[in-house]
Amino acid sequence: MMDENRADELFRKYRETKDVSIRNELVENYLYIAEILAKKFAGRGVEYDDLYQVASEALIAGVEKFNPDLGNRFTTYITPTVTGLIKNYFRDYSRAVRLPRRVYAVAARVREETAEFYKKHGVKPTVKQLAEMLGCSEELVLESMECRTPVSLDAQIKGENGEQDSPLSAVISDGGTAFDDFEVAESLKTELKKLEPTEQKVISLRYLQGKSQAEVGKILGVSQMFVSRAERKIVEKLKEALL
Amino acid sequence: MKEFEVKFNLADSEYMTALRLVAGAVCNAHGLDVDTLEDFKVCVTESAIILKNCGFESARVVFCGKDSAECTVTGIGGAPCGGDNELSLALISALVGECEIKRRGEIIEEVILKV
Repeated sequence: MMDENRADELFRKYRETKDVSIRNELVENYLYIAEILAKKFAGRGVEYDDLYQVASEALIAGVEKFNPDLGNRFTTYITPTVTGLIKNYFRDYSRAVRLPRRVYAVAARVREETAEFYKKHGVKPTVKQLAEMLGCSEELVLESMECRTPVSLDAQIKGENGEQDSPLSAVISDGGTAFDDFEVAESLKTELKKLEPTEQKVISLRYLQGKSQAEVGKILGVSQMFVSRAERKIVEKLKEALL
Repeated sequence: MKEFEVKFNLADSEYMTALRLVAGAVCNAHGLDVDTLEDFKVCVTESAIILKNCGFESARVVFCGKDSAECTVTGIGGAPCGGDNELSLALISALVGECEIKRRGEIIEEVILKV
């Protein structure tokens, strides 16, 4: 552990030269802070290793930005910064049902790659194709497909074509007026009549009565996931008929 | 494809995830796309739930199939009785290519799925 004067001297030298070896020396010297803070927040729903990584990344960023001539000690500066980033990580990544980080990361990429593949080829990929695209095992892809991520209504949706990001709540339709607003309402009505009685019931409960998938599942005696899949099939069928 | 069998107590709902993983792996072995795979997983577990609703204690799930994935979900033990599962069955039929239901009187004893 180096003394404060030596550390300040190295911080100044790093600011002048941007020499990575100096930065690394400083990071190693203060790595104990990342360890202490990661331990402090461990056991609350996020793995220690993940927290240690977040804290270490924050420490590196802190070392790169710190200016000893502003009058603060590095430890005073870095502690709230690392704590804040760990809290952000909890907000963004802790889940009601916890998943290993690798599964969580692959799950997100599986969704993206599936959508990309569909755009390119007009068909959905197989697990093998996804595994090749993601450079991981087929088992990991299958495992990741089992996870469903709860999403906050405040989560930001990336804007397209230069549009600003917006919260998820702003882009979710209210459901109650969806059919009224549909410009081909008459054609839709005709197509709806062609659906099986069960399918009509699902659509009626979901879109006309505004019930959630879980509520529809309860009424029909099936799971929410089942309603979700059935609904997607029905919507696809309607889209095909209308386009 | 050789037969692959899974048997579990229907009261242990945590095994449903294991069943879904097996169903997914079987579809993967057949090279099915992810959408078909997801539909099949839902139908396999839903079939097990139907048998649970009918009062069976356990389910035997046998995966097989040469050109496509096939699955037979059979109820075992318990005190089976009839139940209203028609909507559930209709939805299963909408999701998989073929669905065959075997009954004894009012009781659904077996669901055979094919994609």
